[in-house]
Amino acid sequence: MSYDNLPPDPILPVLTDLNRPFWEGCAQGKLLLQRGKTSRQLRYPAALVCPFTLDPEYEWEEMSGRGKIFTYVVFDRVYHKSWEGRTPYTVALVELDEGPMMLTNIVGLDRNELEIGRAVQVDFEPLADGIAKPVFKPV
Amino acid sequence: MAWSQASIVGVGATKQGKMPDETPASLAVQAVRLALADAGIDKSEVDGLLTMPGTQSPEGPKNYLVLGELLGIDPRYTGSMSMGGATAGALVQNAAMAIATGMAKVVVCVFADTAKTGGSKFAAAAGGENSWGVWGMFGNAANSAMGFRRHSALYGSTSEHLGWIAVTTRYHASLNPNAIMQKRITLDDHQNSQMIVDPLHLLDCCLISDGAVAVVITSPERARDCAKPPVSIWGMGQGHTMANLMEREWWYLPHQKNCVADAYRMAGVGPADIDVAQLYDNFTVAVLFWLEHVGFCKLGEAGAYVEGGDRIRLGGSGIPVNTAGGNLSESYMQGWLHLVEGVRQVRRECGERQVKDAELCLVTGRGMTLNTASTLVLGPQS
Repeated sequence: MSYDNLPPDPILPVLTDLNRPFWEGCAQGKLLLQRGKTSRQLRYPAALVCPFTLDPEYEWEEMSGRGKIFTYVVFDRVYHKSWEGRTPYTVALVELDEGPMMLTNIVGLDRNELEIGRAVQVDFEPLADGIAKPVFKPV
Repeated sequence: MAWSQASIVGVGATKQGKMPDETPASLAVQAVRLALADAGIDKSEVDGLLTMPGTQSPEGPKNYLVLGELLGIDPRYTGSMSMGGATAGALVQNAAMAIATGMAKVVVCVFADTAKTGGSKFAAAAGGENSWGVWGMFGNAANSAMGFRRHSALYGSTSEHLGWIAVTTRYHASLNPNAIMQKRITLDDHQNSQMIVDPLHLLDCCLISDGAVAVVITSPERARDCAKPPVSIWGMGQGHTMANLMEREWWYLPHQKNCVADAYRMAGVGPADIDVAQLYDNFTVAVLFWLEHVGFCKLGEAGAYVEGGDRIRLGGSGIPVNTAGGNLSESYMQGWLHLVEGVRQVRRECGERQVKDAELCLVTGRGMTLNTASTLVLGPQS
């Protein structure tokens, strides 16, 4: 996958003390999710407390990066200028092998190749200096 | 045994469409006047005011203050609520509870917006802090499209099935002189309409409109002396999924089934008792899901159920759905007009689109990022 000729002004994530490890992980090619200390449950997106127990203690854990397409849509229209020149693009829910669901993009598959249940693997697409977002590509 | 401790006695809807000379406030006043006249109740009797701020009311949650001042009401019970398309039902429920507890005697619920004139696009990115924009996930259509894609893969529902919902809803709007879109459409029109977010076409999507709606709720006792036959609230329910990605079945809105079940239980009825239904339709696929959630058909069978439109059409073999044209074709009042049509069907004043001998009408609403839902079962007051 080539990332040449990226249009300017991508929408960047809003970094906070809470989600910074997630985004720093992405920049280093790692998919890190929080696991609650008492519940041992994974959660995504980054949250202050475990939604099962309200326990504030957690650790960051690296995921395998493997998952399956749970559902997806294809955007043919541009809703925001930063997506000009990028249509059509695919937004999907990917269910990680570890369980959590991520909203993400699917890259490297044409519209007619997309399929619910298809195995995908995380990749990281640079957005700006030191910032990359997780996307998923076919295994 | 139905709950029936509060009744809807007045509904008012302004003209719908694009009205650049109006403001949300001016439209709200019109709707309240119409609703009070419909009820035969003087404004001096109103002691409750509940409002839903529209997209063009920058005061947001303080909307009740703006409208209360404008309407010259010093209420005993008031507030504003923003739960998207579930708000209309939820506010009527709050009003009904205020009436039943004696906190208020006559409650007016109102919604007004100039979304069309104001250029509201309903295209914001979802997720916390709009974070889904990072992945280009914009607009309300995309959330519903996600749900439809999965329903389609699991149960075989098709874009043509959605088309039958669009065609049938438009047919109903063609019988409604107040509907914005009255020109009938065909399945081909639906299939050939522009793709908005694959798999949803333009004709799968609701309108964006200017307009206002008001509803008057009071006690069964007071309701007996009103201008029109009172419409009793037999049952009501709410359900919400807040967890989004943490709820694996979020795409299917599992809370909707629960909120309808609660309303049925409270009303002492089931789906077989319903004569007509106003099911919130921000997108055609919303109706597909509701048909399963309200129990008109089984899980996964809604596609086959709407095939040909016969079972959702006025005069067809099933329970007519969205008899005034819904958000898709009447006007996008975020479910408030569903409530108005529900009341009018129970009063049997819908003329050409009246469901014969209609007694019970189901009214549902849903909103936000597939998060909120409300249900009312409306019926005659005994």
